[in-house]
Amino acid sequence: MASSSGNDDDLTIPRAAINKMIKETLPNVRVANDARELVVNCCTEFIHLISSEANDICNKSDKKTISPEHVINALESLGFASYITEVKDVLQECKTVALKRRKASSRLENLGIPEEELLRQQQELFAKARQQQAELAPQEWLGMHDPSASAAQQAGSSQDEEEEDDM
Amino acid sequence: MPGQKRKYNVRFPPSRIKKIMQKDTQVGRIAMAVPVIIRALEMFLKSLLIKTCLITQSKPSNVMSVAHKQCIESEKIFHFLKEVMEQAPATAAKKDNRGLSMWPLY
Repeated sequence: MASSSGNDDDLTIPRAAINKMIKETLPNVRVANDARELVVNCCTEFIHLISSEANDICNKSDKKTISPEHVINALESLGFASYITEVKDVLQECKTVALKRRKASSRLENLGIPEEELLRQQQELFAKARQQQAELAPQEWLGMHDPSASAAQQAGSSQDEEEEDDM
Repeated sequence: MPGQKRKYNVRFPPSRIKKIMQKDTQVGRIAMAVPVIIRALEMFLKSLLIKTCLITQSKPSNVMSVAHKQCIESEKIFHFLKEVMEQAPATAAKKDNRGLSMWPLY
C-alpha cells in the first residue's frame, strides 16, 4: 500500500471512515458529497493544528519526543479543553493495555528459570539429539547391508518412530 | 465497558494519522500520542458536524451552503478551518450551484 496512493501531499483520513462517522453522528441527515470532502479536509487540518501546537509545547519542554501530555496541553491551549477528560480516559486505557502486555511477556521470562539456564538446557537438548542421530546412523547403515537386522531394528524402534516410512 | 454507552464503531487508521502529523517537517518523534489524537479528532468531528447541522436545521430552507461558513465563523475554535473553507467552495461551485450543503431528511 506504500506507493499506490500517489502523492504524499494528498494524505487524508480514508473517506469511508468519515462517511461512517457522519452516519453515526447524524443518522438522519443527508450530507452532500462536497460537504463530506470538506469534512475530510477539516480532519487533516485539525491534525496539523494539534500536532503543530503539541510540537511547540514539546520543544519548549526540552524534550525530543511528543508525548500524550504535550498533546493534552495543546488541546487546552487551542480551546479544546472540553475534550481533555475523554482524551485522558483513552490515554489511561492505552497505558493499561501496554502494561498488561509488558507483564505478560515478563511472566513468560520469569518461569523461575533465568535465560542462561534456559540456553544451557537448550544446548543440552541439542547435544542429546545429535548424539541420538549419531547412534542411529551406523545402525541404519548396518540395516542397509542386512535386511533381517533392519527388520529387527524397525520392530524395536517402532514404538517411538512410527511415522518413518522411508525404509 | 460499563458506563460507556456511546461506543464508536469507526476507527481512524493510526498509521495514516501519524503520516499526516509527520508531513510537518517540524514534527519529530511521537510517543503514544496518536490514540489520544484520534480520540480528540473524533470528538472534534462530532462537535463540528452537530453544530453545523443545528445551523442548517435552524434555517427556513433545507439546503444552505452558508451554513458551514457560519458555523466556522461563529465558533472561535473552528477559526483555523477558515482557509480550508475558502479552498473548498471554489471547486464545489464549479460542479453545481448548490455548493456545499447539508440538508435534513424530513
